[in-house]
Amino acid sequence: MSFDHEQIAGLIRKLASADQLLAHTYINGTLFADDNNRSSIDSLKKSGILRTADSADEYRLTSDIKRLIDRLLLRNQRYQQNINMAKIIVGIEEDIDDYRRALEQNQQDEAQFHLEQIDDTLYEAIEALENSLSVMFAAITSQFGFVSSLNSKIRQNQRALAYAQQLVRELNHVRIDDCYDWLSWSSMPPALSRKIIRFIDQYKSVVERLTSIVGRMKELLFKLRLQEQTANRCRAMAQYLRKHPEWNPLDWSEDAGMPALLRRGAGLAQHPCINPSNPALQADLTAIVQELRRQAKPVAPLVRDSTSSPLDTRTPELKTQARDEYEIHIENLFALALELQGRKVSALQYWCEQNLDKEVKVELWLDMVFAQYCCLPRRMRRAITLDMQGENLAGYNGNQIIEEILLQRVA
Amino acid sequence: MFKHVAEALLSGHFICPTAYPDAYEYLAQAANADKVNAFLQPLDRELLNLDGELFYAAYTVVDDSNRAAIKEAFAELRSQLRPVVEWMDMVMTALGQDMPIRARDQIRLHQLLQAIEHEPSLAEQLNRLTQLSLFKTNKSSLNEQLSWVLQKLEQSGYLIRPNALASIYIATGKINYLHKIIAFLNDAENLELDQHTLSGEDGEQQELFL
Repeated sequence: MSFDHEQIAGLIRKLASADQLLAHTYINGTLFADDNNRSSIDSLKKSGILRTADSADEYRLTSDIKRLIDRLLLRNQRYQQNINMAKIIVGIEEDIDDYRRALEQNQQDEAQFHLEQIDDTLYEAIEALENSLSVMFAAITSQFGFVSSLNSKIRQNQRALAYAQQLVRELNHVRIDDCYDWLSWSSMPPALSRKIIRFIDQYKSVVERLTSIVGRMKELLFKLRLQEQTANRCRAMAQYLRKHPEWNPLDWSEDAGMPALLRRGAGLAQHPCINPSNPALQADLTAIVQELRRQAKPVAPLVRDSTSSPLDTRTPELKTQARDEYEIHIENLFALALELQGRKVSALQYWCEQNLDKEVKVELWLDMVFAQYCCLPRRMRRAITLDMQGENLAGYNGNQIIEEILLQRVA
Repeated sequence: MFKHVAEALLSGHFICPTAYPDAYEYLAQAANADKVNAFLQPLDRELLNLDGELFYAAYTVVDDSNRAAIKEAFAELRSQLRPVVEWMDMVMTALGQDMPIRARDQIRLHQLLQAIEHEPSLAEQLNRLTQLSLFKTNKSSLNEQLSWVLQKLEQSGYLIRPNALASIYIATGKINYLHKIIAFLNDAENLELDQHTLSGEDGEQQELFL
């Protein structure tokens, strides 16, 4: 069977001239004949591109054209190939015999035809397997992305898995190493031996990859089923909660055998401090302080958790007031000064009369009198004047060593 | 990155590819995970990986020093269980999907709102949802209610919004953690959820949506 160049070009032209019509039919599945397209449809039908569908005016693409487009566009549904490897191998064996015979009889044209036949068959067999593999691989990678529901994904995965397992079984039935016997022909041309060796290598590689795809499909199916279980459980939980509005999970955090899943904490609140004495941090710290100063509303200090301690409810014991004896003496001295109007009262004399000389040094006594006077309310200070006596210090303006303080009530 | 990861783990966060992509990538490398685990060990914690989708720190021992913290974390989860499960059920019904909501799933506010607006029973379900503690609100319009619910889920760490101006949310690994908790409660409290088929009245209603 051979086709001339013009015949092939004519078929391709026919496909090209009906591009929109064929695209419409491929996408929608069917095409309805009307007055405008009837002649085109008849012509396409005669060429084996369209076929009639269920009703008279309804047309579909023939399976050859549909498969061609599917293959060229790598449509996902087409990972299933009708590959009968045993038959193909028998066919190749026959072609090799024909080729050998033609060569022995020196019929070069016929030998060339058989060699091309062998090449096409070997190529198509491997291409079909490779296509199938690549589509299956794409399906796994996209998690059967050509269907959206989980249920469909599981179904598609099951079908693809069954197909892949069946294919592996079939391919393993073929004893591919027996194909090396084809090379036993002593005067075999290198062109053919190369093709056969490449075919055997590719075949082995396909089987190996297909086996790995089967493993990945099983794994994916397991994951999809887990997802299905998770979804069903989630829905069932929602129903359960609606039916049992009073239900609350038990407090498993108190269970001794708590699973690792629940051994989570609420999380640590992290409030790190800054070491202000670290010179490397001082510039940043200064910037932070200045930024805080510029804030219109100061940031409230962090509430830090503190441990509570029980309240002490005992009645506290009565304690006698501890009074400062010197304070009493100074108060008495001021009172004396107020009583003796018009007379000066000597702090030094009071110190001697009250025998304070044994308890406190005179310099300290005078210091205390002066300090206490400074602490008096302004009104009291106005009522009493101090006359401080002592030598002026040389070289200091207005400073003196106090040796006596005379107090007098202001009239 | 170590510091960032350690702080996030100690703060009780779940590290997943959605919420902390860089930290997740860091922990996905075994050497880094070992380093972080070695840091956690003296703190009585360990790095756990949930189905390769999520990392979190769990206590290695339970004693008086951490019992209160564990109790607090579980109490929070218990209080969120009912509203979040109800929400997931509503989303699955609204979108007609039989897939569970899992980490990395996109939740589009407008798509969800459209589905709810066209189905009175879903609107009713959303309204009921806003009466539950986590989602409680007085908002009355469906749009406001749904936005509020998604906002609360974002605040609780179940969703993140990659773009604050867009209305697309992405589920975080915390959702997967919740699924694990449901599975645990199912087993531990014999809820028999796996035997619970979508039969009866509820089941028929679900069929109508799908």
